[in-house]
Amino acid sequence: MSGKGSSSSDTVVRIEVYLDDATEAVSVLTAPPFRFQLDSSALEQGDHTLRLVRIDAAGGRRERRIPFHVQHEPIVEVRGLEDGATVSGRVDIDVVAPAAAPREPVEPAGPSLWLYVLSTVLVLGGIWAFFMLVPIYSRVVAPPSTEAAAPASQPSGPPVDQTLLKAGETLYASDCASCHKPSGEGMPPTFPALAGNSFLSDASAVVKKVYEGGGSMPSHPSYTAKDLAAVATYVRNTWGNSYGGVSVSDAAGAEPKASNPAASAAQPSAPSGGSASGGTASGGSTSTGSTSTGAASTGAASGGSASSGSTSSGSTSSGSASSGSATGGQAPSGGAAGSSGNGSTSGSTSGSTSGSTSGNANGGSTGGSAAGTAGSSASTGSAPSASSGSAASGGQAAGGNEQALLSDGKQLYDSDCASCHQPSGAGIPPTFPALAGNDFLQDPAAVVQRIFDGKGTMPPHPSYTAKDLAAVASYIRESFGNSYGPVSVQEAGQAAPKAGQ
Amino acid sequence: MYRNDRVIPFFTILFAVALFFLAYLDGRHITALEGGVPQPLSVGQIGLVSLGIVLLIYGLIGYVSVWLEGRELRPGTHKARPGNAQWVGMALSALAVALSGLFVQAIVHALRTQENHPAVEGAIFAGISLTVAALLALYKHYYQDDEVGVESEDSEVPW
Repeated sequence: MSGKGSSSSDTVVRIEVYLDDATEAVSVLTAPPFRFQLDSSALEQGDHTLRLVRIDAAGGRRERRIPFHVQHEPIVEVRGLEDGATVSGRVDIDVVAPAAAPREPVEPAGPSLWLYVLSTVLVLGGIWAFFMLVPIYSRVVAPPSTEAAAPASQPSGPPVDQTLLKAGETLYASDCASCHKPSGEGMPPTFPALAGNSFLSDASAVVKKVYEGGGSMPSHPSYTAKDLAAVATYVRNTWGNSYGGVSVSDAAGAEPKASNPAASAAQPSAPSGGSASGGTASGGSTSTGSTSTGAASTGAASGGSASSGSTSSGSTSSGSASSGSATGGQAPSGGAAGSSGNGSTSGSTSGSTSGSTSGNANGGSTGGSAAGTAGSSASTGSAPSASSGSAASGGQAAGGNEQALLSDGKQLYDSDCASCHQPSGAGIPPTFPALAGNDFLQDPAAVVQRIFDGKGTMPPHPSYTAKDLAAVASYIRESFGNSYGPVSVQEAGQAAPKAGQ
Repeated sequence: MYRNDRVIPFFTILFAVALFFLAYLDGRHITALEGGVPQPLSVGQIGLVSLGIVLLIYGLIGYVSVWLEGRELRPGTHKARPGNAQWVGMALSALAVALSGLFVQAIVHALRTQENHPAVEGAIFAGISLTVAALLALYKHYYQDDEVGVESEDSEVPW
């Protein structure tokens, strides 16, 4: 209960509080807020009066009376026995305690904001610190041994064998660069960068990883110990890396399952032969006996069908020469054919008149590759017959061109694609999808664009010409059990206009 | 009286985030050991993430309860007051439809191109699930009346 001073000029000196007719004040209030507490439980149940007497500074007294009623809660409520009732025998009596007045719920004071913030920082910071500051983790993550700690310009590992380094460069370009990039920057996070990669400090781990693969890294079971040593040497000593060389014996020791060095030494030209054969157009320029023979036989296969089953080598080369000129644009191969002799020149002339009626662009590219290999010696006299053959049976010529395309495509696939999509086309799902039975291959334009532009983990191939694109697309659409049909150079050129012809 | 606490859900979610963080750093450590080659989830990481998911859901349920019921249940009937919640509901419904279309497109794209992006597909589906959950909570909060009854402590239920 509270009172306030009046708004008159009189000042309140005090307020005396009396109960009923008592002469002694229950409370005397001398200063605002004039509040006191009345304990009604000490009063008798019934009517009472509260008297408030205000005394002014001038000595004036004014009184206010407030009557009120006190009703005590029953201690207990009794049911079964009324006041003044008459009872006999056993009587059931219920005694019920009166319900307490409902209390207003008290809102508990929650923790303050800083406690939340502090907890978050402590918990998350503790976890971070555990990983970053505990020595065992930093020691394992950091490159072990002294070679990693050495400056990049100062090789501290074993001496680098330049022959192995050179061989490794070739192998890397053919098998690894499509994912790890020629610059070694990779395509993180799927293909980690090799430049500055501390993992390379452990030579045996590198050899093991190259040979066995792991994660999205494909295995290379066909690699010999020499190949492994070459690739390991190359990646450990390029792009600013200087982890030292890896000897063939080291590689063999790290990966005993790989072929022994002796076996690999017996066939030193195998890798280079493979890459040379990968260059169907460059086969002629290598001019080694075995390579030119192989390329010539390839030309024979395509040219043979172009000339309706003619078995002479002369007709083979001339057929390809004539179809090569049908496109009128095969600069490298055309140049080679032109410099090789008169026969090929005349063949191209006649081919442009007769073979062009078939309008087969594939024939041009195929012929270009064949002309680069065999045109110098065998194309002299038979050019007219080849041109007439292609004119007579354009369909058969296309069939021969298709075979050549597939052959080229296989070589390109083996060199550029098989490391991820596997030679069997099974891929390594889900990172490298299978090509066998892949419905995506139904759309030739989409396939060509994907090869040329790349996407996701698939690297682009900007150096591919329309012919290369047609060859690879035809090969993967016609291999691994697929039969989606070949893709012509013209189609490939339309699908990837930026590709060179 | 029954209370919906806000402290326990906070620490539950905090521990869930801590477990996710732990699994992430563990993965980075394993990747570093493998020469930067990302590795599949380890058994330990799967365990950490699983426990984190359980804690996260528990914490979220706690916060949703606070939002729906308040911190303390008051006996009586509580009428729902929709206000302008219908606009939020419409926006969330549109979002759910858009995400569903995106999800179907992602699946069809994966089937056509054999390029599967599980992270993207999973994120879209999680978005759909969360949107639907938000819609349900919105309906419960703004469109459904509630009644809180009082039950004496010595009821027939032994606990």
